[in-house]
Amino acid sequence: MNSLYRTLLFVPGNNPGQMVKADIYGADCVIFDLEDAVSIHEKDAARDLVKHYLTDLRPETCRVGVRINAQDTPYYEEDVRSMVSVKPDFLRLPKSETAENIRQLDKLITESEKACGIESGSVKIIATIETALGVYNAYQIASASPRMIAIGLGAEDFRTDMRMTRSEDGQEILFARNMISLAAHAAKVLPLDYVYSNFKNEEGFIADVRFGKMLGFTGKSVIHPSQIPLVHNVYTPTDQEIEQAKKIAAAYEEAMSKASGVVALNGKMIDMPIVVRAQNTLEYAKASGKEL
Amino acid sequence: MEFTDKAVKCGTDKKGDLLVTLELGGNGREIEIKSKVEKKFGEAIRQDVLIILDAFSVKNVKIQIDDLGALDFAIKARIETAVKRAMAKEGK
Repeated sequence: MNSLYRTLLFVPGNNPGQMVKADIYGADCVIFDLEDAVSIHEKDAARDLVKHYLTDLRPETCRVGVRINAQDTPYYEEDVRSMVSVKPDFLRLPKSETAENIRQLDKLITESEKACGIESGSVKIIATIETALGVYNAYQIASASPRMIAIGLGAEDFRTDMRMTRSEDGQEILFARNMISLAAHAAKVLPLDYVYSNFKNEEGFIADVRFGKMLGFTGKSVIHPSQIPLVHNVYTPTDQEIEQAKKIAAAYEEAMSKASGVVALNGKMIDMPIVVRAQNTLEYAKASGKEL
Repeated sequence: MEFTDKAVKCGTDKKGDLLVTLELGGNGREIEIKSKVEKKFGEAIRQDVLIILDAFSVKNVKIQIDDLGALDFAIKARIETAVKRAMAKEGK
């Protein structure tokens, strides 16, 4: 299993036929959805299904998360208690608007971990921000708990909350995407780009992933398996980028071995941010199956 | 198998799923399984059902299962949901 979060595939939590296939498409993470993909009459059934699936058939090749229902619903508490018992890698909380939302979830996860005899801090949190208030508070949300590993934008609800007009290339959500990326990096968590729901528009999707990568996003939530290789391709460094990264990493290693504070390549000094970028490039290359 | 209005349902008729009809009460555990693979997997399905009934201490129950090729996890999950729904309906 790699350490990246390039792709997070949503899978409906009440469809056993789809659940058993969830891990075969190569996504870095699979998120079983108890929220939008499940009708209000089937919330209990989806919870039981995900619980038994993770008990019997938990995927070993990718990380596993569960999108629970929002805190203002009657399903939230039981979702948390029930899911923590099978120890997913993370819970994804929709409609995160304030740091208090995250602190409440942290508290309930802590109680549930204790009740199940699970080591405290095992279950992480990803927050989905999908309102004007949430975007405004993005940094406070991202830094509200040591369990936080990522934040992402829920674009459709955000557009509705902002009374925006929807465009195909998402111009109207540019500010929110920037804000999410900035807040995540400031809080040292991962920024996850929004779901591009028109999965039949491959060209538009690739352009959108490329743009998200330019903005600093480290991965994207996806709703269709066909989107996974497209995202991975965008996040796979070119051979030229890999070669340059290897040279920089080697120069850094050499400087460290000589206890020298100065890293140089071809007679030029290399700043630490460039070393970090080179290390990131190599990590993405490795996860993409490139030979190093 | 006949049911009264105390019966609950759970699951779907989609491939890989099962449809469960369950009613608490009666004498013992009556389990009817309709499945294309009943000959080969009927006993395994029955075992999954019994695991959940034991976990919830259900001794008297009628269950009809229409199986569409469900795996063990789905059978256990659907039975668990059906048992909990039936108990809730009886105010237990």
